[in-house]
Amino acid sequence: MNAARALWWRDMLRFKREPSRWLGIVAQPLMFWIIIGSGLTSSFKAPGLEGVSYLEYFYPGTLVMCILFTAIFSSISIIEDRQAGFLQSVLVTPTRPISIIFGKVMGVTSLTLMQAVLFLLAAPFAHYAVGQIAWGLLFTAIILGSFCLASINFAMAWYLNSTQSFHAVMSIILIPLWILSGSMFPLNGTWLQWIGYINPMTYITNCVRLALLGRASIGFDSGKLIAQQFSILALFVVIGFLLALFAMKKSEENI
Amino acid sequence: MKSEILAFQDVHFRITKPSNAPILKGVSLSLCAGESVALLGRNGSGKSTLLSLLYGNRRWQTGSFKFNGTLSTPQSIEFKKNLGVVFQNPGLDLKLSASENLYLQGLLHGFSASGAKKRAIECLHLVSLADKSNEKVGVLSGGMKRRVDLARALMSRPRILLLDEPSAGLDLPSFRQLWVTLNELMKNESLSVLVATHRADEADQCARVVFLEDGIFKACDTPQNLRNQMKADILILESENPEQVGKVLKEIFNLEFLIDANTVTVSAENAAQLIPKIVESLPSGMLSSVNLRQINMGDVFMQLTGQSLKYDTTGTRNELK
Repeated sequence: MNAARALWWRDMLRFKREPSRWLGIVAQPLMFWIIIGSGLTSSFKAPGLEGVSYLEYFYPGTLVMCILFTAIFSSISIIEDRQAGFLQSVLVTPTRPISIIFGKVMGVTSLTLMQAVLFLLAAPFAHYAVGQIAWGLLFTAIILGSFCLASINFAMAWYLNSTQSFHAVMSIILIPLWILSGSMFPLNGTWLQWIGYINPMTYITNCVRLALLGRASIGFDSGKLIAQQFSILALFVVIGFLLALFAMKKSEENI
Repeated sequence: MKSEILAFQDVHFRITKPSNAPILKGVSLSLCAGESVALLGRNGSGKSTLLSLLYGNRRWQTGSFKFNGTLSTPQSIEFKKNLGVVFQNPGLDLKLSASENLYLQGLLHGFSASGAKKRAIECLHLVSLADKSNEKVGVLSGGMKRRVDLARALMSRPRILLLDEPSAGLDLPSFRQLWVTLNELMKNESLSVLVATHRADEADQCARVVFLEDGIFKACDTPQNLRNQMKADILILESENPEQVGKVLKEIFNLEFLIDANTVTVSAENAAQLIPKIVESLPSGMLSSVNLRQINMGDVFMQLTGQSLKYDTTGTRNELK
């Protein structure tokens, strides 16, 4: 665990020394939420969501976007570390692959949690009352979501040789998957919902949304729904971790 | 007799597809505790590939591998605990300070936080950079970065140190400083060193030199023994028409030569006595200078492998003609 802690410490130190990233983690989700949320509020009409403003609907999706973007930037740093030669100096140590993955994932999780805490200050403006939010569930969802996306991104970054390639993957896979997770619009009743079923970000969005609704969502079926969504998300965490491990073991010559 | 710490035998390697040409074709070597061995070869001869196999960056394909007298693999945790590697490009985080880089490496090697901090200071002292411990690595000179990288590789108190072109990009004073440090470490810490280099003067610093050409070890001995194999001196003839000079050397004196830009290099016994005869054989004014010097490791390499460690001005490799 020392090795995982070391990599986590490095990510935190680098973050601390880059003030522009502080601005990014505070401003980026707020800007997305306010601009897109305000722009689409008047035209947002979805069956079963009458009376829900788009700012309210989009809020959980913005939290998921925070997780996604932190995972993306962290994964890009893997490619940069490889190009700069730093990764080699990590791999020649007796560090086990799982510790390297865990270290990077913990970095993503810590940054996401910081971003989430700041962004959650705006929750009352999205009609999520502080007293109503199921905080434990919410942070569990954010942590599981970070683990899941960080691991999947790690696996992809391990295979890619340039940051440009990762940007391409981000544009054609990751961002569309975020859009198709129910973050921006409900998928129910469209063919897109089939993509949603196999999209890990769907479950992150659902878990975050259910936790934000908290007591308001606790009905006789909600407990079952929460358990189901969190279980599937946990399954995706395991899959993501295994993918990252597999990528590390398979592509030793990619360093 | 010193104990053998690392040995590999009959190592073959090719990249992925069987259709690719092999990079290593059955190389074997053993390294004793406190010994230094240089792998001397041109770019593409397989030096870095061999090192990357040893530090576990490439999958071992065939051949045996022994660490401390026991059959093992380069990926084994026990071997990695005893290994330090200095890469062609420093494996440092340029945004962290020298001591932070070393502290990080200590944690990766399983040190406690206080142990890693203490060892980082020790290692910076070993490379005479204690006064730069709080400087960000990105602002240090190339030579200093190399020394910090060496300190990084020493963090785990390794018994074996692999260095891949450690002097690449270093000026002469930095090169000398690096080797003063390495020699002290070998002497004081019984460190075994394996260096991949294309520099003859760097290979000369080691106790043994291995000539690696086209994936094969062509020779392995002490620098002195290798030099003694050749009872010859080196003549360097400078001319505007080196091809013509070479032709005369071949036809009249039956000498093999190497052309590098405007110079023709010849290795010959009693070279001093040959000089007047060569000058007489050539049209007046064809030679602009004649130099005579003792043989060095690069000359021995050329004689034994038929290849020069240098490149001509067009960037193509010189071969013995």
